[in-house]
Amino acid sequence: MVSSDEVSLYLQYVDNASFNRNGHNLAVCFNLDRRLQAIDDQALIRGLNQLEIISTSIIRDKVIGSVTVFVLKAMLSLAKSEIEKAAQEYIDGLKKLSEAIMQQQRNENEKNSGFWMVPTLKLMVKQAYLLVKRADHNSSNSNQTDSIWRLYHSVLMYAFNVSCTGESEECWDQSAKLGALCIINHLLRVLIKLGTLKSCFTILTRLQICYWPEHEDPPRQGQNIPGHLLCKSEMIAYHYYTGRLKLLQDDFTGARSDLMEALARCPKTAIKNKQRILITLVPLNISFGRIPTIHILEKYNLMIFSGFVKALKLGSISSFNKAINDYQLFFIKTGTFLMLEKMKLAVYRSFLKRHINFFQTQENIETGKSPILNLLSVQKALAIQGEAMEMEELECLLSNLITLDLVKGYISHSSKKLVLAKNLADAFPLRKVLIPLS
Amino acid sequence: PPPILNSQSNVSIKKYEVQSHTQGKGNEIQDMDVEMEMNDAGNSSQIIENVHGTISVANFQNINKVKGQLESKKSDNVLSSKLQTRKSRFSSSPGPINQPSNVNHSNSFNQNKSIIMSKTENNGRNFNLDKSNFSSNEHLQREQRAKRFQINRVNDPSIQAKKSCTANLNGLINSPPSEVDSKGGGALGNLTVKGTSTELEKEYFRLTSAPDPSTVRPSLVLKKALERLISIWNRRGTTDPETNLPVKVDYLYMCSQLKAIRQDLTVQRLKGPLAVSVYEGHARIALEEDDLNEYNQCQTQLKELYASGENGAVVEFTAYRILYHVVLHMHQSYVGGNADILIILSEIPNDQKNDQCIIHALRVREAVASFNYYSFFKLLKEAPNLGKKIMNSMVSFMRLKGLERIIKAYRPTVPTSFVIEVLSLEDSNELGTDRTGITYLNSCGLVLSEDGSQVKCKESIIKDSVIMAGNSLL
Repeated sequence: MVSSDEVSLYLQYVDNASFNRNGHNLAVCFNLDRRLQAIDDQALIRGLNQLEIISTSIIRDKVIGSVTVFVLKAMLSLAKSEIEKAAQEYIDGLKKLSEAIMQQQRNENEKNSGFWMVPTLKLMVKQAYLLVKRADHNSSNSNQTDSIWRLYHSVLMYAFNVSCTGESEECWDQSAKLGALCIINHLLRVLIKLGTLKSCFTILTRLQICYWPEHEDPPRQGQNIPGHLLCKSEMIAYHYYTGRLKLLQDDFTGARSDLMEALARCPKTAIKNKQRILITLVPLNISFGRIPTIHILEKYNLMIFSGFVKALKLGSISSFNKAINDYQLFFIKTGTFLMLEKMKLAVYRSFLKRHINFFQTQENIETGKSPILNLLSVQKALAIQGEAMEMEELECLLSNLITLDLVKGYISHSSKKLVLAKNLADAFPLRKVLIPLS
Repeated sequence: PPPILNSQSNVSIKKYEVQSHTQGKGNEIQDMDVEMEMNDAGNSSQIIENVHGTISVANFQNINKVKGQLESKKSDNVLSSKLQTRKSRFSSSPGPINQPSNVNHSNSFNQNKSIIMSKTENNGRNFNLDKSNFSSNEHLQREQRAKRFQINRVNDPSIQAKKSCTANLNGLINSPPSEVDSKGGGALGNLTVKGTSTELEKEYFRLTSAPDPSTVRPSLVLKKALERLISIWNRRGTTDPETNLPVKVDYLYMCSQLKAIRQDLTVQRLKGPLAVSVYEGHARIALEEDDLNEYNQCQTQLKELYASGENGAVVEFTAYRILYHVVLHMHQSYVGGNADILIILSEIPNDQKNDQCIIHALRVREAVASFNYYSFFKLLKEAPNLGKKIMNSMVSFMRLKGLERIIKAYRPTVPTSFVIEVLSLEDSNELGTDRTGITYLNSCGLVLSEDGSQVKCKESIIKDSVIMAGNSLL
């Protein structure tokens, strides 16, 4: 059967690319954005089997041929708008490609020969992710979409294993390991989305051993990956995801350094990326006591955090409550909710500090002794802010503040007074606000 | 050729306990339970063939149980050993002949057999090889096994399949599952037993091979069994009319019976409303007896059942789940606790958010996170359903934190009665007989004034109290 010109042209292009070992050209072929109109009609007429025969006859490399078949099937399903099926087929294609790389790696005669397929692999990983995301979006049944993510996850793990194996004496220029960074970024993305954090550590340590073996303790065989081979954009993504991961494990300082590094490396024009980093970084910085300016919040469209800024600066508990309740779901999804909750104590501290004059007796202010706050007035003031609480609860709150060194003083239970340190600066030590509360 | 241990395996097999049942005829029949430690990476698992060459059905429950054990990081030893001793007491009833075999755990890639473990066989146990005593089934199986050690078996397809299986276990596990090899005696996908037994009472035994349908009970029988167990459980606390003593129900007996029901459900793949009632019932009973481990297993199953659309006391158990995760998060060694709580929080559907139980559970979470001991103990008193039992695990922690804060914040003294009230120490029953709140406070290192009415805050140093509240199977 004579195939249509477009289809056979496409297949010849694939064949050329694989024969010449040109990974970039091959990647262009497997890019789903470039949809072939001809394929829909022709394939519908001839059936998919024939297409397989055609591709295997034109394409000399068998494995690449089978990958192409999967890609073609995926394109067909996309045209029919069966997105989930397309995703599955594309993922199968991805798996085949990883197998191809593995086979070539094992081929004794040509070591490092899997290297040329790395750009293709990267592209397929990204495309697969987009497909899965689309399938997730379109599907209403949550069970099914979970399984697609898991399928994607398992294939990614396989690809990751493939790209991390290899001799340590390999020259980095020609190594297939370069694909690992891209894969791990997507893996982390999926795992954070699915919420299973346990496997994250294993893959992270694997990557670190693979890429930076000299930093290990004790240092392992092999050279560190040279800086010029690390793709900049992938490193930014890597820092971003590891930062988020550390946040989920309560490692605040580590998370902050990672995210700051990601932000620093971002090019000036990548506004959307910076926004994504900032969504996690701003709350983190706030818990370190660094309050963002309104200018930044406006620039990156992060006005949801303006409530917190106001709350901290003015000691306004009502605006804090409002801010955290309005966007609670958003904060939960980005993983910053628990951290923001803990900031409430800092807001109470601000509240006391700002309104201290209301709570003292007049003579007390004049004589210049240690400030004594009447707890009853504090209680009333809190009620006005919307936080009505009983006296015991207020005392409990204050004891928490004192224990955390946010307020220096003591409570007198019988007279219902809070006595602070003499100097205002001592009474509300700044030191403790600059460390995340726990 | 000697049996080959799969060198790629990361699983170590630990012999757990061996018992011998003596029967009237003088046969010694071995019953060995072998527990498997799964590698924490969770990636590798071993496919074990039992001695007679048949693939056994996966004991789903046991896998969940093992996973549940790992996840909750609590040892099950106490409970299991108690169950074992229970088993031996009841061994006089002629049950199914337990073949001297190894426990079979298979994962979803149950393609083929691989050989393992002649270790446990030759530890000096007596095997009575009097063939006349074996059933014909067993005879056949023994013959099959004997065939394995013949020399010219290289071309046997099952062995070929075996080899390819052991080739790249990791790769198989990481790759999407391929077709099931039906030659291997049926994998998980094919086995569903239809039960025929009508026994209401059944002890729990770990499955060592495919269960005999005559020992598995169909759903109607299971329903009656469940009702019977629940009525037994409800009788406790009442007075027995004959002896005028309060009725005591043995929790271990209940646990074993319920696990047997769960096993029957799993083996027959019954996942309907009956399964929900069983798991809910078991979870409640476990909570009443402070068995958080068992509760966690039921909770995991319930979560999946509810997710697949079953009805039940969803709100009640979601509240329990939240509380349970607060408990988990409290123990510092639990890694990744943050993500779990966040997921649970994000998954609560809107219509449930206004329910009392959920609101209560969320408030508890908030209180524990911000060390708000006052709210915590108030919430403890108002806990709905059985939430109090879960919260009991947090009590000593919150008390300690509360005492730390009180000592730091108040000067010069704070009334003892206030401390006792705030930390909910009035109920001396909690702390065991003859102990009052004051004793507890003293054991924590608080220094009281002469008349005992005030706590001297400056002189007190808080340390962990030696008095344990309550008694649990943890």
